[in-house]
Amino acid sequence: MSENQQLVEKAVKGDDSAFLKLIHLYKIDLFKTALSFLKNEEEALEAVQEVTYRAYKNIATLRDSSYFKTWLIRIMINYCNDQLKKKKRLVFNEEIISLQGEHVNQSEIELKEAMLGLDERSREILTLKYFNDMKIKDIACTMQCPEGTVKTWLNKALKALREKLEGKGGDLHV
Amino acid sequence: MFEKEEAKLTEYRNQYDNITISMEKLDGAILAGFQKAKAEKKRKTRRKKWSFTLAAAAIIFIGFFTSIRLSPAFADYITVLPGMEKLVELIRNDKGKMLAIENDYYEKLGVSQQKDGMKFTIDGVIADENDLVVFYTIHSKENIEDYPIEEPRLFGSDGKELNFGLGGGNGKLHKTSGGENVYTGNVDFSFEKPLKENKFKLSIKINSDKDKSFSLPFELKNDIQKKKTYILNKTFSIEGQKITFLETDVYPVKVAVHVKMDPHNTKKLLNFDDIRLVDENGETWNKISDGVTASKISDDEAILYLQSNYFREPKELYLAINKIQAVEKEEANVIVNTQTKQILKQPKGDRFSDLVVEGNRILFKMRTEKEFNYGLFNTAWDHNGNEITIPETSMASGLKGGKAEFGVTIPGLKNEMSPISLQLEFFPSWIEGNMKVQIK
Repeated sequence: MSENQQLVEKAVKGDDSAFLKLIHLYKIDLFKTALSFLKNEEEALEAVQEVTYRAYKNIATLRDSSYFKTWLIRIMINYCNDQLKKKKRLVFNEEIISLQGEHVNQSEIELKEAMLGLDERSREILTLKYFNDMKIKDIACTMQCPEGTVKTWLNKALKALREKLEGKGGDLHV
Repeated sequence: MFEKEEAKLTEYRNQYDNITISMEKLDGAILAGFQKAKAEKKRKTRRKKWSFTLAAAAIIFIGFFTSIRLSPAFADYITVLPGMEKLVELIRNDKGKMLAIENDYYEKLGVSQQKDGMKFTIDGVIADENDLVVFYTIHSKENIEDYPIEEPRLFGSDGKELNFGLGGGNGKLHKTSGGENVYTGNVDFSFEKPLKENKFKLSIKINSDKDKSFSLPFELKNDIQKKKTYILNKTFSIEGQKITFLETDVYPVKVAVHVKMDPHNTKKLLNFDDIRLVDENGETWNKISDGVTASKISDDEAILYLQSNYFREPKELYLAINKIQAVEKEEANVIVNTQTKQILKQPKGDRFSDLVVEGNRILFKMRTEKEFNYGLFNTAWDHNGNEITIPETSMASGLKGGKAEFGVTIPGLKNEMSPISLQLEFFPSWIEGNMKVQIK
């Protein structure tokens, strides 16, 4: 069993320091994922706080210690999706662009906009696969579905993304 | 096929690799989330799960802090008995039940029923004339919440429901590597009259995503050991408060000490904190640490429950008491107005403060020198004198600024009910002395 898996098993059994080590191990992934969904650093930090909270509360429901990272990132994606729904805003107006300042270039904005215009499942799949480098197998395991299904979803998601990027997805500022 | 999109996604990700992150802020966010979760975990709610059918009120103490530990050697000995580890985990804080198992007084049953992907098994029992401790296991693919069983009912062979005094219980959730949830627990039934039956039917409901009911017959084949009774009739006085010990019944599951307080006492005796049995070698058996610790017959009469030494044959046996929670009789309540959020009356010393009302719950703080892990109240009266049974009390563990936080649930709490009088069942004020009664 890998060192990480041992940490996960300890954390599941209620070892706080193991839990914190794990969160610190994946904090950058969490933060970046949050930032890709949300408006700014402040919201992303809030997301990390909430996801730490949710992960601690629910760690006993983790099915397999080898998929801790996917499990954790999925909590983040769910949280971000909820936030997006709650605020009913499909981002991207001038204000945000100015907030993110120099880091942002045009293609990034386009892509973020396109991603946020996708359905939740497509957004989740693409975030896991490309943003967090997850393997199809890992995604299938945490989502509890066959790998074939994940592949189908992934193809659909990429197709939808293409349509958005090519402007076939209708008005992006819904 | 989607090379262009994939490339864009990769580029997109790479751009995030270049962002600057304030590690300090990120670590701060993690800490805040962790602390929030910890704080919530610490706020433990003790719930009286089942109503009791006896006229006498019972005092339940749910032990959070396992103060009683057996010698490691003995615990090890028990743990190696095959199939007993999980069971032993549940009763580790009860020397009497551990002794019963060590003396082969546990009767193995293994009766089970399966329903909708859930299996309920009665593993075995420890039974005496007045108590039936049922050990069970639930196997389920679905999630099971902590303490999942509701409405345990027991029926005799004639199908008639047996009235039990109060069921306590304990349990622990395990997970198998296959992702199955396994919950091991025990339910303690106490009976008002000695049991004459040996054939029973247990019915319970399991609280899961869907409510499931199980009903299983079981039969006890082993002989029930008879209680040993010691008549005492001795009166003692601690700080001027008189207490009479009437008799002590020693059962395999527990020891019941019948006490009567002098009606002329100026103080109301709330809880015998440290009553214990001591044998000639100085070995002690404490109060029941988790479950029903006493039955109140009236304000002046109670049965106190201790862990049993039934399976020992001491040459001498003493009952010892040093500390009793006590409060002046006219000060034994806290009166609050939930509309104005005021505490109108409380015992001397103004320990209670910071009254807050949240839905059906009244929350307040109590100044205390040490942690005080008792539920404080059982009963309340509204301003019309209607009695209210408090179904749930909660407390946050740990002290903040020398104060502990407590919560009391009043079903259907409304402003018109105020002022509400809460009767103190526990309070951090003690009378102390050195009482030792020889019972054998």
